[in-house]
Amino acid sequence: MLGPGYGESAVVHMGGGEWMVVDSCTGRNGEPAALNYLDRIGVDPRSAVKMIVATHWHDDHTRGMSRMVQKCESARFCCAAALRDKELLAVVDGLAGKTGFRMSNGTREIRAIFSHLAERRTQPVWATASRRVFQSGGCTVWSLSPGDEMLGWFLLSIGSLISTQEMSPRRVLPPSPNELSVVLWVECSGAIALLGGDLERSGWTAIVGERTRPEGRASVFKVPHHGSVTADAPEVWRRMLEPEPFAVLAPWRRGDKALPTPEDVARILSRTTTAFASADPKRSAKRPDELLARTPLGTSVRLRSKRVPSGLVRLRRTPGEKSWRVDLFGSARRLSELAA
Amino acid sequence: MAFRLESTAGAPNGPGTSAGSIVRENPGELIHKEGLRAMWASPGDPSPTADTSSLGYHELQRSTWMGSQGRDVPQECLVDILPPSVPQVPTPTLHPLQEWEGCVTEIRSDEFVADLLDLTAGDAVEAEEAVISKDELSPEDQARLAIGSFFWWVVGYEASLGSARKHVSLIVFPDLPPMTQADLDRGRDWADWLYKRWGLE
Repeated sequence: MLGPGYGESAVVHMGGGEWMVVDSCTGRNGEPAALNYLDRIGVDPRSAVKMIVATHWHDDHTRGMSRMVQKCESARFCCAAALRDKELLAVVDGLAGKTGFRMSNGTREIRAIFSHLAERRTQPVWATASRRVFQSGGCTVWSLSPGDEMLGWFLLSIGSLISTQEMSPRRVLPPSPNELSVVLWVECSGAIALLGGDLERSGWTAIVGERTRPEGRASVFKVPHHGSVTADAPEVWRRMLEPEPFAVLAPWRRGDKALPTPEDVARILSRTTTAFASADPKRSAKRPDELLARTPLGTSVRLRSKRVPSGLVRLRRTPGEKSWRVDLFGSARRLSELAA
Repeated sequence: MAFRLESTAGAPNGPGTSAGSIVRENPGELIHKEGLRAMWASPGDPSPTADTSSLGYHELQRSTWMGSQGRDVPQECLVDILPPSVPQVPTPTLHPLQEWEGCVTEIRSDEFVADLLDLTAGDAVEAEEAVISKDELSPEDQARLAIGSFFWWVVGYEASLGSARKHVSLIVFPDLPPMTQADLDRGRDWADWLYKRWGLE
């Protein structure tokens, strides 16, 4: 698990030299952090990466993703089936070419990826509830979301993106991507990981109640939405995870708000003691404000760098082993240290 | 400097105008106060009395940006306006020290949060964010505030002849024309192309 830097990204070795990358963030060199990591451990992403998943199109999950898709020539690209809607595609491209309109980085990345895949005549793998999206050797990957109900609601809301009124230039922000986040169930050689994307609570309720989802309990849980209470579903811990699972999250910060909050940390630690964060959000560098101090702004503006030192949580387990070995790099921390 | 008058009868346009709004002919040019005097003058008014001295950089910036849009106006509605001869007025100049492009990510009761792209540094990613009091915005711009809205933010100093430098901060939310059928048609062409290449149709 890499992040946050400018977001988060998970790199999964599916066995047999085949890899999957879930979401994308960029490193200091501007390159996708997942590719930097694979390069450091001597893996050639062009042939080794077989699957790239965009759980949703928020900026903190998609930075550098189009570059990664172009570089990983052997990889299939997987995203929520909602993005297949023709009207949504028309709106996104219609606004993209319009003077003054800007797309969010996430929407821009998805547009670039779709254009690239069309050039290659390769259709994305569309993620829906309980769909097997990848299988090779001893590894199977299922998407558990988004469900039909969320997809239907989303398609109804696309019309709100079209305005005939004069407006301020703004980013194209399709509504609530978190609700449509792709959740993955990864089974490799007997070990199961549940990668929660940013899915909110209502989506989890639908997943837990889904009869066609794969059976079993996961020993690794990528905690959804940076540990936020809005994505917390106790029934997931009770019914889909082993006792004391290895939980990993990527922190997030906006303005003076940060996730996880101390309450989030306490709640997660009450469910498992083996919990880790890929970075310490409190370590974000503060921009020198001398410039602003010389203006009439006074205290009406607070400026902060988004450059949070990135970290890496690595979980490793060989077939037959019962537990995971944990390595922490960079600013990664045990979650209990964030509570201190 | 030449301008066009958009003849939209009855539209209030500000001091010194009778009707219509002015569209600048040469996008990209800097507008100085002499130019603004011409912009704010009515056709046939030989001696514009509009007082532009109260116009701040906020208005200057907005005029500049609006002008760069070059809206289409029927030829018969255009009137050439020559810059009147007016006494030379010391022109304040803005010297930016730092420029950002901002995108609003959250709106609170008395402030908003925005991701910032550092234009001065030539950054490609938004590496900073700011929490800005709504008091920094004009009432007009407060109405434009929405999640996803873009704005330009300049911090610098204003200099004018014979006076001291003054530090300034300008935040501007520009307007844009609405989405058109042509925009949508272009988007649909792209969607059709994707579907064809993916074998979905």
